[in-house]
This record gives sequence, C-alpha cells and structure tokens, in this order.
Amino acid sequence: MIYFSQILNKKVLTEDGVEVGRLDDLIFLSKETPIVTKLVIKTKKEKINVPIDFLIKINKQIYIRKNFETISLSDNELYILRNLLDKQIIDISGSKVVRVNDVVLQKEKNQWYVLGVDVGILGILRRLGLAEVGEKILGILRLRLSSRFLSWAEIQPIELARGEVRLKKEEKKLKKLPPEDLADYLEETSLANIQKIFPLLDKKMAAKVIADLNINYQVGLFQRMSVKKAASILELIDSDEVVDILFFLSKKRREAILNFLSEEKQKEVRYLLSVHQTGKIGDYLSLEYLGVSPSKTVADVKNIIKKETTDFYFLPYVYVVNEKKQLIGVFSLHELLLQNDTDFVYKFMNQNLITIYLTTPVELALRKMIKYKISALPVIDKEKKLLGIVTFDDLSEKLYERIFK
Amino acid sequence: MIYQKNFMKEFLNKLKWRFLFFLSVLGPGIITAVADNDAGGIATYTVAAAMYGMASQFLVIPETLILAVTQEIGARIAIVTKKGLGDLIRERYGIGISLLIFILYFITNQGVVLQNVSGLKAAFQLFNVNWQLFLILTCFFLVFFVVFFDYKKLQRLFLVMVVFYISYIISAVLTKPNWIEAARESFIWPQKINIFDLTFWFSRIAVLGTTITAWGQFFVHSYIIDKKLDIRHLKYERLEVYLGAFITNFFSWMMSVAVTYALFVNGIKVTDGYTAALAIKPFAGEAAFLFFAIGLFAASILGLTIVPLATAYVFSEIFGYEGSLDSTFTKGKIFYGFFIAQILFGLLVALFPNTSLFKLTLYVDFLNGAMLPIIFYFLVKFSEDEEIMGKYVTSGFSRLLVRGSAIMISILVVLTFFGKILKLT
Repeated sequence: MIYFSQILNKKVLTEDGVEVGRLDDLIFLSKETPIVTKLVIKTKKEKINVPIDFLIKINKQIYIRKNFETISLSDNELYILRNLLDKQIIDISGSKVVRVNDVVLQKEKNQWYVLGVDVGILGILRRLGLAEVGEKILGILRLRLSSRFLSWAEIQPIELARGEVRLKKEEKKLKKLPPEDLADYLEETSLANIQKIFPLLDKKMAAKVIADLNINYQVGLFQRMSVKKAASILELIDSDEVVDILFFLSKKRREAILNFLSEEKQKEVRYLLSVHQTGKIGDYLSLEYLGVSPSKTVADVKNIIKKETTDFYFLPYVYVVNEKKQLIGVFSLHELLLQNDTDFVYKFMNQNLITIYLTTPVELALRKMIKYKISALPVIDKEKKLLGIVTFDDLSEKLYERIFK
Repeated sequence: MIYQKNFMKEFLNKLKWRFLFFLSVLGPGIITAVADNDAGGIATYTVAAAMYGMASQFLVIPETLILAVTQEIGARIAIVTKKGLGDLIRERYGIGISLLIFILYFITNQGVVLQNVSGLKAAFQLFNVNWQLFLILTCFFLVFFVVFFDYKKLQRLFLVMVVFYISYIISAVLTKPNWIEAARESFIWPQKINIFDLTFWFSRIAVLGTTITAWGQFFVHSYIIDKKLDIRHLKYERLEVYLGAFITNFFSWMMSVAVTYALFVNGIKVTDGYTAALAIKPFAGEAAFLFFAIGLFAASILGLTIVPLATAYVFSEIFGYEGSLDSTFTKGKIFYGFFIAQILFGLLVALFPNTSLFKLTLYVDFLNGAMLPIIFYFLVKFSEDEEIMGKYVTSGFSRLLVRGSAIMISILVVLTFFGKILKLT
C-alpha cells in the first residue's frame, strides 16, 4: 500500500536509466474496482499517458520499460490528481461532505488500484512532508492521530455525482452505489443532512434515491423543496409512487406541485388521485400474515410456519421485520424451499419492496399487484411498520365490480 | 383609464415581487461591507477626520465603486461555483499553498479580533459600566448566539447591529455640521487643507485600507454559500453587494462628519475611537457623545462576530470540515471551536488592563496589506477562468475594471503600510 502523495512528482526512468520525466498524475477506471490504468508523465515537452503495463517498479524512482507507448484517455477514466485529490467527496457512511487529503493505492496480483482516500489530518501532514514530525509532537502530547480512511466503496466524488466531470461514455454504474443503498444510509441521518446531499446529485440519481426513501423523509423533502424542483424530480418517479407521496402533502402544496408537472404526467397522476375516492385500502386490510426476524434460519421459519399458520387461509409470502416491527424484506414460499435449512433469512430475502399505505387507493394497489405480479401487498405506516397485508383475492371483488357493473 | 389603472397595478405588483425577492438575498453584501467598518476602521476614520476634516473622505465616490466591484467578484464566484474561496484555492493550488494562506489569514484575523475586543472594551468604558463583567458577558452571549442560532436568526441579529450604525448619522446631525462644505471637501475638492501634503495622502489611503480587508473578501464568499443562494439570485445579489458598498461608505462619511464638526473645526487631535468619543462631549453635547459610543459598540460587536466566523469558514473549506451556521454544535464542532477559540483568546488579552494595541494594529494592517494582493490575484484568476465560471466569466470592459480595481487597491494598501512604518499617518 502506498500513498499517492509519496509517488507524485517522482522521477520516471526507463530500465536502463534514461530519464523520461516526472510522474504528473495517474489515471484510473471509475468502476467498482478502480484499477489504475495509465501513468501521466510530464516530460520536458509535454504530458504523455503511458499504460501501466509498462511499469516495472516503484522505488525511490519509477521505472518503466524503454519501449513504452503512449495512449489517450479512454472511456470511464478519471485522473487522481485532477479529479480526486483535494476535491470534495461524499462520505456515504457518514452522509457528509469531506475533502480528500491523500489517495491510497494498493498493488494486488500485479495490478494497481485505488483502495480509498485519506480524509484525516495525518493525510495533510503527509502531503506537507510533516507526518513523522507531527506524530512525534502529538506523541509527546499523548494524542494520537488516526488516518481517517474511507474505502472506495464508501465514497462518491461530488464532481461525478453532480455531473461536472463526465465520463466519456455513459456508464450504467456511473453511480457505483445503488440508489437504494444511498437511501438507506441517508435515512439514518437527519433531514437537514439529506437536503444538503441532494443538490449534489444529478436529477435522475436524486429521483431514484428519493423513490427509495421512506415516506416520512419523502414528505419532509417535498414540503421543503421549491415547487418547481419538486415537480422536476417527481417527473422522473413512477406515477404510482408519486401519488403515494402526494397524499401526504397538504392539498395546497399538492396542487401547486401538480401544476408544474408535464401535461402527460399530470393527467396520469390526477387520474390516480381521483380514483382515491373509490375507497381506501384500509377497508381490505388483513392481519393474516407471517412476520419473522431476519436472523432466523430456514429451518426455524419452516417450524414457525408449521406451528403458527395452521389456521391460515392463504400464505403466499413471509415478511421479514426487524425488532422495531419495520418491514425490511420479503420472500415467497417457493424461495424459502429453494434454500438450505441452515441459511439465514437476511441472506436471501428480497429487499426491494413493493408496499402500499392505508391511504393508497384500491385501484392503485391493484395496479401495483398486476404490474409486479404480486398476489399480496404489505401495508405499512409512515415509519415503515408493517400493519397488515392486502390480497389480490380480496381486491378482485372490486375489480369485478369495475368490469361488470 | 381602466387600462392604465390595471397597468399600474400590475407594475406595482411586479415591483413588489422584485422587492421581496431582493429581500430574500439581503444580507451578505451589506453585512460584510458594514462590518468592514469595525472598531479598527472607526479608529482610522476618526483619527484621519480629526486631522484633516472632511478632506479625509476625499474621493469617497470612486472608493465606493472600487469596493463594490471587488466584492461583486467574490459574490459572483460564490453563486456560480457554490464553492468558497478556500475551497477553490485548495482544489486549484493544493494543500501547501492553502495552508500557508490559512496561517497568514488566521494570524491577521486574530489581530482584528483583538482590535474589536478592545473596541468593545472602550465602548463599555464610555458607557461607564463595569467593563470586565460586561465584556465577559457579551463574549459569552456572542458564542451562545452563534452556536445555537441558525443562519436566518443570526443574520437578523447582524442586520440589527447594522441598524445601530444609524447612531453615527444622529451623532453627525447633532454636531450641527455645514453640509455643503462637507460635501464640497469630500466630493469635489478639499480647500481646508493643503492637498499636496504627502502625509495627508497616506492618511487618506489608510482610510481606504481599513474599508477593504482580506477577511471581507473571504467572508462575503463563504457567507453567500451558507445562505444557499443560486444562480437565479445572481442579479439581485449583485445589487445587494453594491448597496452594501454604498451604505458602508455612507456611514463612514457620517462618522467623519461627526468628528470633523466636533473636533477638526476646534483643532483637537485624537488617537482612537475612545478618545474621539470623549472629546466630542464638550463640543457637541452628551447626546452626540452617547450616539458615537453606541456606534462604536455596534461596530465592535459586528467585527467581533464576523471576523472569527470568517476564519472558521475558511478553515472548514480548506480542510474539508462541516462549516455552516445551520449545522448543530456536534456536527460542526471544529467550525464552532475555531470561532470560540479566537474570541476567548481576544477576551483574555483584553482583560489585562494595560495591553496596548497600537503596535498590534500596525502588524495587523501589514498582514492585511500583504494578503490582499494575493487574494485579488486568486479572485481575478478564478473569475476569468472559463472552466470555473462558465458563461459568467469576467470579460471585456468589466475585466479591465476588475483588474484595475484589484491592482489599485493592492498598491494603495502596500503604500499604507509603508506610510505607517514611516509614521506618516
């Protein structure tokens, strides 16, 4: 493991000792494993990019093979110095913005890659060449400085998130962190913090993340956002979800936001809102469901099913709830049977949940069931607590009415 | 007729909305510019006005323009990039240069904090109260407000302090000045003094030097970002910055009027704001004295809060910590810690009864003078960089104006310092 600051500006020589120039920057692939792909060498005349394959070793000086070639920047590549060092990044686990003081590189199986970044004071001291002195002084004062290290998986360069630095080709995993995960992290912090992060994301990403936040946060955000911005984000979210969010806002605000939606979207959302009058899901709520803890094994669950569901009329899914009674996952009986008896529930449960609220219109619930081919939907409250389920059987009565009456 | 009425109504409505929008950006420009007239500034104005009368405000109109132009660059960069000056320096010039600048900046600001604590002390002495007790209480409350108030509430507090500056206007009126003469001396051509006197010019430049400060340039930048203004606000924020430049020089002009018609016409020389206030009493009466003291009080409070905040903002920007008035104490520990430490240090020094701050003022002015050219270099560089500013880049005539102003101020500030070394002021 080495620090980028330790090799920056080092002399670059060929294997037989001919000086090429100085190391100016490194280029890496912005992917899940950020492999270093090229060296940028500042020669007397110009800056050249040399593929990392020509690197022999990094000692006091950097040696490359003498028959090296130069190459231009390819897709999805970023510079360490220009795009990462000294720049702000989002520390996802802490949900805050921090500054990169140093970049940590790691060699593994003949490949160099970006292990992560140092955001601590020690990183600053190292850059200034004062790391040892600093540690000594602090040692006398009986203080210890820790390197605040964040791994690549934990960070998101702001410039990337904001779209200021564009990768050459639109990468599917441009935001290598799935929006669902970012949403989970964000839920653990305050609303104010969430508001701070959002302006940093581009609209599409923001929409995805918002769609995955729990309804409390969604409502909080849309109450504070400007109407125009709220509309532009809602535009990118599925209409079904939009209706769920809008129901929790005041009538005035709802109207205001609606007016800013595109005509098409507006029409769809307004229709869904109007069917609200046809009856709420609360009338169809069933308490006949099974909830298990995520730490149970498959064998445990099978036992529970045998013991507790003898009088059940219908058991399509098993819901996973945490100790706060919040719904965190779901699996079907089929999925359960496919697992080994010793597997834990949290390992195979589906975390991508399709849920509804007590206020959700019946029609909307039906739409969701048909769209996702689910025969029962869990009903949750604002805190994500599981209240009960609604089955397709119960709702089909409604469907029948609509078709034949 | 009906058509016209509707038209008028519509026009007024539009105006009303524009005004409300303007109010929403109100703050950064005015607060920064007025805070530039802090305790140290008042000392310089009063000393100069007692020496040269209203001639000390000669060329105040072009001075206002320069101040407006330089503050506008900062405001524009802040709104366009949403990054502080500290952020930009760190990102563009790396850690070494950033650290160096921060150290210089920190020392300068600590000096300015000291000036303001002693200004506050002087104000309490003028009010004839137990100054030790009040000084400690005031500092305590300042820390309390900054830590526990959010941006909005604090800004209201700042704006209230700005209103207190009106006391200088009252104070000026009470000295029964000759307004026409005052305007002639400052706006057209001074006749009461020998304009070719070199020492006059040094004093005049010193007055300018206290109005345009290093921390002011950083602060307007960070403060706008903390206010979370976006590009829609740019037009109005510019207006607000210009208004701020006007107001601050209007206040200092009034201050100079008060001093001129109480002291200069009677040939009384003073050394600082404290002695000036005392000297005003026999000539302009108890009320004028009181209002002058209130002005000093407000100026010190404003300086004492804004300057350490300016340091804390830049620290957070350069080293990447949470730095916002909206953050809680636990989240912004380092940001608030920096603020508190500077005030505490200032308080401790001021509590020793015989600390002379004359030498210190000299060093502070020197550091300020040394920093300003560097800061203007960065400001001009960033504002002309298309990669940073996009279509809001400085170009054409305004480029000339910005560069010209920056260079002029840099030269003048450096001159001020040499003037002070040679004891010309």
